[in-house]
Amino acid sequence: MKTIIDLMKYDKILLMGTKRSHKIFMIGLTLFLTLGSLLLPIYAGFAAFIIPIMIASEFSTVEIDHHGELTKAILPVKRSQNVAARSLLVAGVSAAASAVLFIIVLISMKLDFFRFSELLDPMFQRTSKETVVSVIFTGCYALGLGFASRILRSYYRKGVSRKKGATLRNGLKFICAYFGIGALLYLLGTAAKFPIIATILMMITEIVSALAQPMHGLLLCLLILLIGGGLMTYRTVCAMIEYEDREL
Amino acid sequence: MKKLTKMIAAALCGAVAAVSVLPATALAEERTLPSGVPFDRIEKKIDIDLDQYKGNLSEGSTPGVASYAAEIFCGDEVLYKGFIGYIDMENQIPADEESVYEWGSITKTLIWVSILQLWEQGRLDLDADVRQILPEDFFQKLKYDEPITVLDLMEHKGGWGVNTYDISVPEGAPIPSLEEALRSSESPQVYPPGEVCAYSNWGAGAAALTVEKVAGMDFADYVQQNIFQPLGMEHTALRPDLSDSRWVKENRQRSQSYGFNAFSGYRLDGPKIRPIAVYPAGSCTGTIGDLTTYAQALVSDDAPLFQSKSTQEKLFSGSEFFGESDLPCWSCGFSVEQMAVPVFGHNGATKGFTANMLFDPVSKVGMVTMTNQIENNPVEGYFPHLVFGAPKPGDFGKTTDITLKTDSYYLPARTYAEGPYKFLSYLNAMPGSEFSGAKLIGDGLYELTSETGASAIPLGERKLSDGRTAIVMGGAATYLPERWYLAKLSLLTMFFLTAVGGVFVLLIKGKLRRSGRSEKSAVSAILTVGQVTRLVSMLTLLSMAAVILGSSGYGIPRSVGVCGGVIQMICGAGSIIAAAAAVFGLVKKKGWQKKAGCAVSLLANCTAAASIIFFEMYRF
Repeated sequence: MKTIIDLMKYDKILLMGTKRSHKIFMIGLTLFLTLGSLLLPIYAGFAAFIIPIMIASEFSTVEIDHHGELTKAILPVKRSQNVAARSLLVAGVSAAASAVLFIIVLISMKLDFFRFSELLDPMFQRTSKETVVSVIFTGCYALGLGFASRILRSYYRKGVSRKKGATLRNGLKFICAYFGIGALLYLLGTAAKFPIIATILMMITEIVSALAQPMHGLLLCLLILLIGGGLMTYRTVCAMIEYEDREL
Repeated sequence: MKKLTKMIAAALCGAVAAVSVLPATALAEERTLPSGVPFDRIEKKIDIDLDQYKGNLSEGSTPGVASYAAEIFCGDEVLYKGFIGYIDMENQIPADEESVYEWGSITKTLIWVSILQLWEQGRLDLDADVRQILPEDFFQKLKYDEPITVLDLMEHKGGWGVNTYDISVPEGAPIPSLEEALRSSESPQVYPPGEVCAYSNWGAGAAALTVEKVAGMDFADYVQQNIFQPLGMEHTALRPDLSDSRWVKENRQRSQSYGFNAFSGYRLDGPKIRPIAVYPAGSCTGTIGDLTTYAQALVSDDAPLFQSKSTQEKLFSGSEFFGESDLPCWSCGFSVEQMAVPVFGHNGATKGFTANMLFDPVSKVGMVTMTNQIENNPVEGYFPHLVFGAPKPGDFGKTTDITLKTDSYYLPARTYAEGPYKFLSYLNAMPGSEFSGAKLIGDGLYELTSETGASAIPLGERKLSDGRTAIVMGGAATYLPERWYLAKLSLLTMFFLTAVGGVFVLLIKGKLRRSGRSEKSAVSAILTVGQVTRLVSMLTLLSMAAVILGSSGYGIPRSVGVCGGVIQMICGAGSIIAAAAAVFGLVKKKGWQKKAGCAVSLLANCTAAASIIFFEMYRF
């Protein structure tokens, strides 16, 4: 465990201690998303989604830019410990950041700053606004965690692409993924004019609504977090195995 | 002088002329509904308020109404009769006097009227034990030995929870007799008789069977002869297949039912007729005119349904009260709504229709509404408030500063208290804080004011034999405090979490096996079986939940219940075996990681087994 903690400290130094680090960009983006989260739920959801992805990408990019992986190659650490340390750091930092963001969201709701889309009206008829916001926020965070774990696995399996504009392309990919999933859900709702799809959607809605009832959605949020965390754990184990088998 | 006389005469003539052109009603006392709306303004107010729904069936997520039929009356006088929309949207058949709607649970009032008719004839004692009237082997799932009286059945105090098994008839299947239908769908008795008001379709069916046994005839025939025919209700049918009225059966073919939700907008809501085997609970179908005739008979001074007016008065004198007060919440099977005045009646809902019948026996004002739409029906709450107004703080009595002491969490009495759906009741708990602002009026009666302070509702306390104190919110809406609720909810939460977590453990094991890093041992294999059984148990539970939630309260087919129960038994056995293997692994395996894995597996399997047993997922 001490080795893993030391590796996490090493990653933190690598991130914050270099001139070419993107920390100003990251801090700026985080502030922008935080301010946006005060007013628009869609920003809050996007922020919860993008924070784990941003952190995972940044650690990987900085390590490659400053040849951090070479240092790790000569340290007396196992490859699986590298992976575990990186995953724990990404999960920990994104969890802390998302927790702060969630508190901001709750404050914004309390002060009535939020402007909700009428698309959410059917959900508000079934349960409270706090429950809907908590579940959606947790869902976005879990989705972000899933994508972050995918980035980490991809990095340890094949490294980071150094082609020009790769970072921007990847960033745009994730933005499209976020809004694409939202569009897909909307299309699914539209396709519910077909009876079989409507029946399936209604049944899913009934179950999700039932699970969202107790304690303002706490049970459902825990399940969603477990799914996100479970994906992260599974892909971390996969990354450990693949990194150990990889020829550097 | 002459000029002055002429002036005075002209002035007098002018005054007489002015008075004579005033409308007569301006001088007479204005007649109003209990809500304060004058009789002569009812139609105009409804036209203005509901104009947006005329022909406006759906606009994005804003609901409209497929059709409604409504009547407002005062004694024998019909003050308003209106129809909006289409009884069949696809074929553009407008709703009218010949449109046929399903009564839903308003049908139950026919049982209660029948019982009181037999009572006044001296043929049935309301305090008689129905176990002595019904066949000896009829009740198979009684838990308590206390007698179940006829009055208990009228007050939904027989002690039954919500029915698990289907009370409707699958399309094309033969329709069983009432007794056969009740025997095959018996609900378990979960509360001591006479204590807890828990609305029960099955209990109402048992009451109808009691009428059959006492009257010596089929319930539908009894109602035809003693209620429909005396009132001239020729456009109403009661049998599940509507065979007691050819006219109704033919016209019912014109009626489609609709549901609305944000996914699909308006949709045709399934097959046209869904016969209910326990038909006295909700099968009656007919026109608005007939239902209005029935409602008017119940407030008529002539009491056409009874031999004596005192029997009708007994029907509306209250049989269940808030606390020990004299404010009624239930009256011989009729619900009592405390609006601006106490209002008696019943509402009803089937899979495709909703209906409501409310009246004030004092002013003889009443209303009847029927729609062919479920979900997002904007008309449902409109008419009761239009006609009867809303109760204001202070209407029930002067409040004190003493507030209601509440427990942490309450479960509704009308729930799946036993059986495979017991877990659903724990998802619908109400925190005690919902009632905590209620102020004592006296004798166990409290008043709970709305957040805005504009309206209020009464609450009652009821001490139960097990020492708990239930809260009664009116009619059959009783809430029971649940001890150790958070612990039980935590068990349910852990069940879901360990099942979902097991999925990822299986994925990781698969990856390790493919990369040649997995441990091959009997313990590991059994633990894997445990993970699979937990996942299967959770998926079975959720599938069964989807079926019951989609059944609109009718219940599930018995085959689904049996399959689910058997699967859960197998999963429970699998979890117990996996837990034993985990204990073995914990003792025998070396290395803290393996021991930790076995410990987690032990906890997960014990949680699954405990959940399957506690939440009775294995019962069918």
